[in-house]
Amino acid sequence: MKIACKHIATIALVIFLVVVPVAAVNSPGRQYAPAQEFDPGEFLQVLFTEGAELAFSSIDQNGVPTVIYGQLGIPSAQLQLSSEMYQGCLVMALAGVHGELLNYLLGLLGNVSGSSGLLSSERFVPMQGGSTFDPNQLLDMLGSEFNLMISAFLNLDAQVSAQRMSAIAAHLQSTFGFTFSPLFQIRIDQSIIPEGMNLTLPFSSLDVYIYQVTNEFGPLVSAVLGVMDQDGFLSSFNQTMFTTARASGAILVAIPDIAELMNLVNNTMGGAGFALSQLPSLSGPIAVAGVGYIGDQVLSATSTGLSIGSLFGAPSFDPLVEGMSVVVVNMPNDVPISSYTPVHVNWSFYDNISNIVVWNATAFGFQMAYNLWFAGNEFPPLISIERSFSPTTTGVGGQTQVTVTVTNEGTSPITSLNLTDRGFLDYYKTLNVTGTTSIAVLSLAPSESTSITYTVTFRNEGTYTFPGAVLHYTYNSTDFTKSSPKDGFTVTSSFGSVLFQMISDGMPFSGLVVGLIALGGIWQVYGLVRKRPSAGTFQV
Amino acid sequence: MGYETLIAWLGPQFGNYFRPTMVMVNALLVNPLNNLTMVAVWAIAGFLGGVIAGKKAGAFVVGLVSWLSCFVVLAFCVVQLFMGGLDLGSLPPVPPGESLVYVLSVPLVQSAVGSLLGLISGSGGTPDFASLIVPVLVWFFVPLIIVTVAAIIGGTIRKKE
Repeated sequence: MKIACKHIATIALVIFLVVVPVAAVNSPGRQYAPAQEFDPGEFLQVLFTEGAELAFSSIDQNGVPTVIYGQLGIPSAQLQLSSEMYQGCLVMALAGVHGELLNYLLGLLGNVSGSSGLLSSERFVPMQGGSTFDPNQLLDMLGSEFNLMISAFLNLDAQVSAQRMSAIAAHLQSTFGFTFSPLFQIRIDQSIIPEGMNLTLPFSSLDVYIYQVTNEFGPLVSAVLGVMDQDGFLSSFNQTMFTTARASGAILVAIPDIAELMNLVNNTMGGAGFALSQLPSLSGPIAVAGVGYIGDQVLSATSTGLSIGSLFGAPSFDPLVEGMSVVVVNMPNDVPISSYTPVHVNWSFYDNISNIVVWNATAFGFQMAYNLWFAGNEFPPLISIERSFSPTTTGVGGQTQVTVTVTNEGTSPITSLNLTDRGFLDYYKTLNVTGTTSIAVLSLAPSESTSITYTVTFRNEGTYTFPGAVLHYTYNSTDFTKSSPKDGFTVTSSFGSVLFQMISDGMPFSGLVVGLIALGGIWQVYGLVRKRPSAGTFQV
Repeated sequence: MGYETLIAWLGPQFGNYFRPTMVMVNALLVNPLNNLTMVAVWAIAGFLGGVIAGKKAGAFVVGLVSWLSCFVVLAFCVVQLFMGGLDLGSLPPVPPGESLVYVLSVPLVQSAVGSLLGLISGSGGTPDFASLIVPVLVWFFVPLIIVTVAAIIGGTIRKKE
């Protein structure tokens, strides 16, 4: 498997957030190629016990950045993980996503796993029907705003765990500004196991609580950042960069006793696996908090360098006073890094296999910038794809004109363009579309634009999802693919328009109902008129 | 918010009868433990109907007819939904800015999922589906009971001469 930059980004993201490391244990295709003597277990141990912050950024082939900032191993006093309310709590995880982050992550994980990987659609073939199930479809069902808190309590009385869950939620609300609404709770114990299975659970009970985090995404990110140590890199970051991007997310994982969690994993999985085996002597509370975003194209054909601070909106980098601060940047494999600053034989590290640069920011101390340089013309020109709707909303039975415009904002031409915007037709059969939904263009010079325009007529109310318009093009003998963001178009429902459309859709039965109601009304009016001479008998 | 998400998501696929269907389902399936709003709506409607009727028998009929008319409207909407054709094979994605979590926050959905989870827990892995139906039947008849009782109270308070 060829390791590309996005694969590295995914691996780093997943390991850092401690979401998939256990699953990664069973992934046989992954290869680690340390460029020098490096003990990941020792390194993780230091990070978890001493506390650490990581500013990670990865640039893909299109010059699009994935940016993550996180702190781990922070047994924050404010979280009060040692207090009574966390006793018996195995883990508390809180996550919020905005935009297309989940789709992006799933896509990366699918790529990492390969065509026969863990998340490949080839693995999901239903017994009946013969059609292949695409995990992306399942993700589409979750939606773009997915804000949840999940907590698990082990071996507690149901009432006690419920009280402690309430206390944790109240504490997170009063201290950090999170707001919650309970969704579900489930108790897993021996009674759910069918008698014939001869299966004994390694615990007496496991209570799982699922809460909806009702904060808007911006306040949610602020609250997650509020949990972190406010010193270090965070003090100079522009936090709005994590809330205004096309796709972004935030996560907080608190483990009151990592040893207890490891014991449970050992008992249920028959072993700790790779990730947890690296942390044999870890115990006590730990927490991991992170925010991240996927931005728009920042590097183009004219770019010859990258300032890491620009990705975080940081004018400078000041490391943590206690704990370790690390800056990591990953470039595409086919973009050789010519130099980087600052450089120190023991404090900076460049792996030319994975094309990754690591700085020990704690050792470097305060720095105005972390930079790297590469040859020009390594990335495609700055290409923008914009989709507009006119009007931006309409009523039932109305229509809108959709225009997708591709603009070459760079200084070099691109060739063999193929622009398509018909993904929405896979979902909605009731739409009437006139106009052009795809176009092929031989070349697009700098500052030139090309566009497609079509008109959509909507019969039903609701919000229609328009998947990203896809552009394939060639630059420098390399093929690139770029897409616009996913859009939603809302067809509003005025009472009159919906009623008219309902009657129209329901003919002839709706006509019959309307006729009966009208007849009833006429009959009532007739009755009133006939009884008018003796008015007063109609009494309410 | 949850119903609006549901309508925004499935309305394009299910058609314009989806909204009135959802309104009627929300009105007719009421878990009194977590949907006090609809309990209050039915109680007020029944009470006013009873006051207008002014007699216990009349109040009972008013309450019953209110509930039955809602049921008939629901039945009509459901029939129209199916006659419009349901194409579940191309279920659209949840629209941008929305989330399945919002749907899960609907009291009725919470009640249904909660009951299902409760049944699975402590059931030895084989849920008793009769126990699943009973809560639905209870939620179905709760509005009828509320509206008729409230109507009779209304009719008792303001007796017509």
